[in-house]
Amino acid sequence: MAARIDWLLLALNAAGSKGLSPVQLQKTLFLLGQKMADKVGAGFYDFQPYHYGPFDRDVYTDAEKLAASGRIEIEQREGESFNRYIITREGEVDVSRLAHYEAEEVSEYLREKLIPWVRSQSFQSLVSAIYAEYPEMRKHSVFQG
Amino acid sequence: MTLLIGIKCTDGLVIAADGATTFGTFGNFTIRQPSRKLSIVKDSMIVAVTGPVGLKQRFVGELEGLQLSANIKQHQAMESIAGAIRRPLQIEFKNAEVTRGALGGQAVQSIMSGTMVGLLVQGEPTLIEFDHQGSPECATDNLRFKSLGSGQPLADPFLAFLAKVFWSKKPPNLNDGQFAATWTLRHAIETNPGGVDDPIQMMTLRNSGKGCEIKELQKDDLQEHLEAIAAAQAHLAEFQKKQITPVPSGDIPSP
Repeated sequence: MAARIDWLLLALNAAGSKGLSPVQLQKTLFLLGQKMADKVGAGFYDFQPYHYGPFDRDVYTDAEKLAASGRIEIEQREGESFNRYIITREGEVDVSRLAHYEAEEVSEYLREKLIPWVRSQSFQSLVSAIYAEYPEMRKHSVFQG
Repeated sequence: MTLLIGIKCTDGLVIAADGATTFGTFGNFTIRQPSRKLSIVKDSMIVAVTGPVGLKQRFVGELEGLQLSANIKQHQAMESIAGAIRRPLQIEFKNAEVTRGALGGQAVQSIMSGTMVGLLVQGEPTLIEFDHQGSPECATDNLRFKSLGSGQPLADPFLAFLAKVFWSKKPPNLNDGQFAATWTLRHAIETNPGGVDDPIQMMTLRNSGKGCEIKELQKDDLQEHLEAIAAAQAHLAEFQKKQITPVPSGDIPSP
């Protein structure tokens, strides 16, 4: 079974050159862990309710490891003050070593369904949708109303 | 150059700062360096100081030696901390009197400072601001936010706007306070003429039930706040668009 950092790399591979913002990355991996728990395994990220729903700081720690090894870039685009996580050419090559059945099924779900859906959401609708399906993740949210 | 922000929340308090220290003498600035502006004293107090770094070091030293009883009242805590801060302050003001003849206004300008302290007083998270004379003022339920430093003219109106928009019906909790502090600091960093810069530092203080709990936010914690801020700004921009783009509203009724 792939390590959790590999699932992160797969998610960014599916996201392509546009990459993912911090909230998109966190929530994509959370939803992947929920929807394909049997594929990602028990050692996956441990998301806890935080300011905007499910959050695991290890996602960023692993992203920095991937950046340090040149497999992703963490950059700030013009007009944005937050990070954007984007796979590099080296990362794309590294993904190919994960070519076994589970990774392909997960990749397809990420590429064809989950990431397009995440990208189609605004910040508010993404967070709201997760709160609707996983209300326990709203516990420490900003703006409780 | 500095911006300090303090927000009294329903379940604790937030103290945040920018992360740039400006070097120079007599108003001639040379370089800017990243620095930490928030200190934790005896695991029970958050201290932040604007002005000369040396003064901050001495204030923190005085506060490390300060003994506050568990039953101390708010006004007593204010006076005790003020007394500790005033010891080095008064030395420097006396020095400034002596040197003013030769240095002019620079003698006093170089020792101007402000201090923000967060601690538990009788179990209650208490935010106290001290001005350049060491005179204290507590944040209250009606005056929940404070800012100090060269960034204050940018921060105060912005905090007042956020308070009006977000807190008029319900006061902020710690999460709301962190969001507001992050947005205000980002606004000041992006618009100040110089000296207020990243990295943002932020600490929270609350009564955990077992005593004082101080947490420092990691830089990763700020990422989602920054994205939420961008979303809030985009939401405001949509308001303007909706005024000029037809929005379905039904037919205007005729009499």
